Amino acid sequence: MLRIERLAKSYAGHNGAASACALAEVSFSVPRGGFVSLLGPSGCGKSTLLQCVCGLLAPSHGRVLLDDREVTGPPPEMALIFQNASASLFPWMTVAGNIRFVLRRKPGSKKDKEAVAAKALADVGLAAFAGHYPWQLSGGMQQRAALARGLAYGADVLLLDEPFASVDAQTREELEDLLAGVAASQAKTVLFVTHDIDEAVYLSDAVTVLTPAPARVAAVIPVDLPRPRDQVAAREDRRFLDARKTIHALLRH
Amino acid sequence: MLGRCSGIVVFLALAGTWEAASRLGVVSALYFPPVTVIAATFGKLAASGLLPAQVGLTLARALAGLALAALCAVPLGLCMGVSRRFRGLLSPLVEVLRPVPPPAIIPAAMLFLGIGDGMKVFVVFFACFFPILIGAADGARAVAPGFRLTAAAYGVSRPDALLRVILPAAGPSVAAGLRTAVPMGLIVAVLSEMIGATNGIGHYILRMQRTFAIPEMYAGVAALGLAGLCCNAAAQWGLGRLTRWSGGDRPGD
Ligand SMILES: Nc1ncnc2c1ncn2[C@@H]1O[C@H](COP(=O)(O)OP(=O)(O)OP(=O)(O)O)[C@@H](O)[C@H]1O
Ligand SMILES: [Mg+2]
Repeated sequence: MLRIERLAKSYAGHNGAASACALAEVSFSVPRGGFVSLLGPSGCGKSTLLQCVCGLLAPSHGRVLLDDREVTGPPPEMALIFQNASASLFPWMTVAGNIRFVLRRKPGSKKDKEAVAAKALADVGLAAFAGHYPWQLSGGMQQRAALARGLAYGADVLLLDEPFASVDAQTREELEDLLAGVAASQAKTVLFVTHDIDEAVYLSDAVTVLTPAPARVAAVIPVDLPRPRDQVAAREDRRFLDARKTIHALLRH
Repeated sequence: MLGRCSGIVVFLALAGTWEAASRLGVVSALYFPPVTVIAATFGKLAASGLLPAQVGLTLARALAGLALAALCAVPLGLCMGVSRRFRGLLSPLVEVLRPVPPPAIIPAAMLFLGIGDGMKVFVVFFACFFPILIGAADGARAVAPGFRLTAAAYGVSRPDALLRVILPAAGPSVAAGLRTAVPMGLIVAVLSEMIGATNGIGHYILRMQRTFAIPEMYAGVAALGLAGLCCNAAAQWGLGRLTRWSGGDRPGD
């Protein structure tokens, strides 16, 4: 269970500028094994929220609890897949090297880790690019490489920051189904940031809608579609359409 | 190719002018012996092993000082780059010592280290230390925050991140510092040999000048020039290979 309790975050102002309030007061929770999406307008504080959740940023107020323990630094059972893959993949390591690097401290033989890295890359369709450097990949391929690294890390809790923003529609559907499959089969707890209402509804058990900056929770919309879901059937389902309509209205006010 | 050819033509024209001026008595043949005489002397001294031995001594001292400087300055610089506290602690000292022209400390170094190898290695160390330190500190400071955050999010310890994330990310800047340090190290090594030594190419050049063995003096200068050329080329090549990821054709985004 991941609980976000009255979380607030202000960035200190630089050179005399006033401090910027990114998160006003955000509370919600993700049950163990649950899949929750975060939706909100650009700049409302979603990336800030994810960084607070995994302990990279100290909140100004409030706290984050993972299984009733307060998060003060990145816990080993969490993996954050950053919004900007090109700023997160290490350019002096190959794609496979990037994955092996985050596995260094994990138990297991070198061979096992090779296999984990190869499997993760195959899952995201990058098997042929293991030996490439990140800067030799397109933006969408970099996102997939970062996703592969996050999945390979083997954390129970996945925090994903718009991981499919720059891949084509076809690949996007495949990656959504990959993520849904991994989350279901390995009982992952997922907090998923996106701009895309359809994507949020399709993937989630509940969608947390945030207000414009500084963010508060506008509403939590449950999605009770059965799983496993099908890209075409789910999008035609009455419950999908209802959730979509509600969220649309919330975001537009 | 054309540029290279015309460069060689200019070089040969200059050598030819020197040769003619010397042989026709336009300039003193004692102070400016014909180039062919210098070349012959160079060939003789190189073949006898005298020049290689003297240059080798100088290079060994320069290399020892450079290696020691790199060993100390790179870690210190990286720490200064990532830690404001560390920077505050060291920068007053650095700001005071850095502008001191390295030859100025040779007399003092001779007082407490004599005229042996220790003095020369120390003076080279002093000369090379600051460019490397500044390169490492600036490089570490400019590392994109994404890399540091990624390392932290994936449980990489701080010392580990310093070695495996900050150092490679700052690599191009560290390399630039080293490239500046290499010729400085050589200059200072030669100078210290001229001021206090019984061997080394710097000492040899000065001794030949004092005994009016002018062709030998020029041969020594030529040998030193050649050694400097090789050192710079080696540094350029070696460092270029280490930081290959940062060069080349990279798609912008
Ligand atoms: N390091 C920082 N220093 C100061 N202000 C920041 C910093 N990072 C973000 N902000 C501010 O905090 C607010 C929220 O930023 P954040 O990146 O969390 O938004 P976001 O919801 O992820 O946006 P997007 O959907 O465009 O990615 C913005 O107003 C931004 O200007
Ligand atoms: Mg964001």
